[in-house]
Amino acid sequence: MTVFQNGYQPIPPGERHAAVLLTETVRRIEQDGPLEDQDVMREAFHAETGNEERLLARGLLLGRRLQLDADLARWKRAAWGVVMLLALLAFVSAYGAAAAVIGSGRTVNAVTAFFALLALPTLTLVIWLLAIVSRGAALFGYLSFGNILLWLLARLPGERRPQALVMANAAHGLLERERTLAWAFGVVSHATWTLALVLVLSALGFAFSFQAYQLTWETTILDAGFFTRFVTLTGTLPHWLGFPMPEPDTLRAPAWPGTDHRTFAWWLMGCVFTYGLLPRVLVGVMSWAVWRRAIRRLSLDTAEPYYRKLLVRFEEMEASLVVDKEQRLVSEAHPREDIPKAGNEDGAVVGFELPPEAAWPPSPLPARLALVERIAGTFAERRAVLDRLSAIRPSSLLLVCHARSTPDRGTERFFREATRHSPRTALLLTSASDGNDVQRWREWMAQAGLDSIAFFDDVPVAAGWMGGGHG
Amino acid sequence: MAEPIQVAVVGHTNAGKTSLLRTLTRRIAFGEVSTMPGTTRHVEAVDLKVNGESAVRFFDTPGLEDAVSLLDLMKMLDNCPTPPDRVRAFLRGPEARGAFEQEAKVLRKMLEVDAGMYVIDTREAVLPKFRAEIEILTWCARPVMPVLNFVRDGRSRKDEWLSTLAAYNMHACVQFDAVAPFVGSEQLLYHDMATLMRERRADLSRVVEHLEFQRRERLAAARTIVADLLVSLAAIRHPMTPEDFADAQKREKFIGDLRALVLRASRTAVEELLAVYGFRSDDADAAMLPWLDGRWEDDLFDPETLRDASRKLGTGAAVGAAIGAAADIALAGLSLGTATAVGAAIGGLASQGWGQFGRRLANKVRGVQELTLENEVLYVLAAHMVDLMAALELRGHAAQGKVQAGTASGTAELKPLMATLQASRAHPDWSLLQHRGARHDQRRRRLVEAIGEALRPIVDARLR
Repeated sequence: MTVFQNGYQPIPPGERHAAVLLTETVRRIEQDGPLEDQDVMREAFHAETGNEERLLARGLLLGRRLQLDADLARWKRAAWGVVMLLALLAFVSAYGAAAAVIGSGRTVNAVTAFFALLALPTLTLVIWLLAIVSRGAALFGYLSFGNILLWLLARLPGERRPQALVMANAAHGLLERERTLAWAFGVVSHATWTLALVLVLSALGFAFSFQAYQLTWETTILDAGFFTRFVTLTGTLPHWLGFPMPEPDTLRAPAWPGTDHRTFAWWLMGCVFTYGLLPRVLVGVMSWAVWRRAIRRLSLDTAEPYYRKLLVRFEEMEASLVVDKEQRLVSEAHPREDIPKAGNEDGAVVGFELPPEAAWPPSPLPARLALVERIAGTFAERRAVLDRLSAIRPSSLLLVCHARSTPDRGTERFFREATRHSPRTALLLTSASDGNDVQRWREWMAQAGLDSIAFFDDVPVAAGWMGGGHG
Repeated sequence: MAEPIQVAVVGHTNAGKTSLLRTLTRRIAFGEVSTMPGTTRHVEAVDLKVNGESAVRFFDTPGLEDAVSLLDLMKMLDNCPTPPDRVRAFLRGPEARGAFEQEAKVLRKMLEVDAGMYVIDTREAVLPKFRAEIEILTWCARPVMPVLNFVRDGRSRKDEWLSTLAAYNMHACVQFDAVAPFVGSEQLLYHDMATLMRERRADLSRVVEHLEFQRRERLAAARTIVADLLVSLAAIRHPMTPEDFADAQKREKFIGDLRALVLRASRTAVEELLAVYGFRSDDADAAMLPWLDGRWEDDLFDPETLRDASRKLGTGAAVGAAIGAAADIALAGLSLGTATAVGAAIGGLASQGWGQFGRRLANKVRGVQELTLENEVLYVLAAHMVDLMAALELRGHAAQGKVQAGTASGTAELKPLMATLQASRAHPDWSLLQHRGARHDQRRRRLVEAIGEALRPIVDARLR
């Protein structure tokens, strides 16, 4: 394995979500100003190949530098303790209500106890269900045990860093974006309540085991049938799960001496188990499953401007590779030849590689010319024109080219051969669109070592130059 | 993905090979581009990566410059039963290291690759030298995809070229403008290459998918930047005490500061857009980009432009006139925030929270005036940003010219966006210029998303 300067190691698949969290946290931190990241960028670039992987690697490396990973590890250690604490809190609130009923004497108002024990857990469960159904989790997102946990973790005593708060917000934002906030916080909530309800049941069990209670009901306006029906109805589900159902006689007159209060106590515990604990365990497991799945699929939103900008920077780091190096002879030797002697008093005009619509011949030109010819540039045409030129040996040779075309080595070869047949050679550029075209040819002539050729971009001036050759 | 598809990019000197590759690989710094012939003199490989793996390996080659003489030379070679043998015989010969060294590099590569792209400057007439190039390329016996460059230029001779290419049995070809590529022509290029290389079709369609995904994400990022800016600016609400308001000098300074703030935020957004599209702000210097030279910025507070925007928005009245106190101070683009904000606040009070109500009431009691940006300014800014997005989306990375600042032409289509934007008016704390933390406000984020969605059809219409 390659060892990197900052000690980057590939992210194990199970730790991907942690990398996403660190990267998101770094993103939030960088919104207040970029961090120095030259070496980190380079390392991330070389360590990973995929777009998202590189972003995660960068986030992880920067996160480590800011010791965010240490914060995260601390959170993981502390989380269970905080959940226990929260469970205790839930237990106190749920059992506190029940204790008001149970602890007040040896007579327990069973129906009031039923409501006291189950009201709060059911209410919070309904709030969670609403959050799931509405998919928004607006209120639940802030008032749940999950959020309290996050809030407490970010403010844990010990070496507190301001980034921990940013990380808590990043986690919140990330879960919200993935629409798993309610599920994730649900895991904490349900775990907390499960623990709390187990404690409540144990406390009830303990109280009923070692103390003699009389479970009764009281009423001012209802009749006895209501309570019979109520207990039978609520007791049916626990009964299916194996809890004993109180006899109708017991229910009708619970205060009658000699009544068996055992089944009535079991009914209360059965109800807490069935309506309190069981749903919590079920939705808890469900939340956990949904959350795990969401975490496995957790990814960066690479359409964020922040990430797109980083990706552009990574792209720029991609190297290209020169596979066939330039081996140009620095300056091909073109021995300066003797200036050829003219064999004719008249000049010659040759158009080279002109577009078909170009006006030909250019005017005005001197009246007497030994050769006026244009060629498109096939090998045969070139040969023929060069043969004619060598036969005529004009006193001056004007080559006409299309200014907008790009000069190339084919042009150079033709020019070089043509100059051998006349003492004076000039290039005339026609139909230039702007000064750039002319400038390009001029620079190219200098580069190619063709500076012995005169240069014109104006027909009358070129014609004057040809005339000047006489005498 | 298996071995990357190898593609040699060949063509006459200065036809735009390196420019094409810059566009195809989105690497602004690749190679060297100039109008001088023979700028690229070596063979350089550059990869197009899909999910971190090389999918296509392009080879940028030197230009073919002397094909006429080379063709003649190669025709004279003896003992070559097939055309590729003729090419190989030339490569073994002395001229391959001499006068035709540049051409030899191209042909050597052509014999190795899976396919070639023949880049043509369609402004040039179909001269014998180009026919010689095509003939030599066909001798390499590799599928060749002609790429017609500069087809949008007025001097383009596209049809002549098409008939010439057809004469050499090259019927599939791509029209491309390296300086201003058509949206989607890149995808077309790979699609047509797939018809030449049927065995690599699956790989090429993966490339097309990848490119489309990247394009969509880039566009989404651009929309977010613009939406974020608009929300921030619409939210601006500068309180001003009655004493300051009465003092003309202080008022001037106050307004000047606010304008400077708006300009700074807009400039940052422009820079971010350029960065998302891979333009570094030092590349895009003032001389090259009208978006950075401030021409569009003058527009923002120009009374004439604002009046025009007011007409397009259908607000009817001249700027400022409808807002009472603002009329006599002629702020051009800034107004006292009562008129616009109250409507928005009442409309969305339930969803926007009651906190606004108390703040406004308190200001009223103390006589504090609040300055906001008028809708016309936001409208002009939005139109400019849409122009810039469209220009960036359409622009190739090899462009040496300017991004054309179009006329801020958005008319009716920007109206619904402006209506959605009003929700931000009631939230001075949503302006990132003054409250950095607001970025993570859930309701603000939802508004940014909504504005981004409203931008989508407008920008898409410009790209069609």
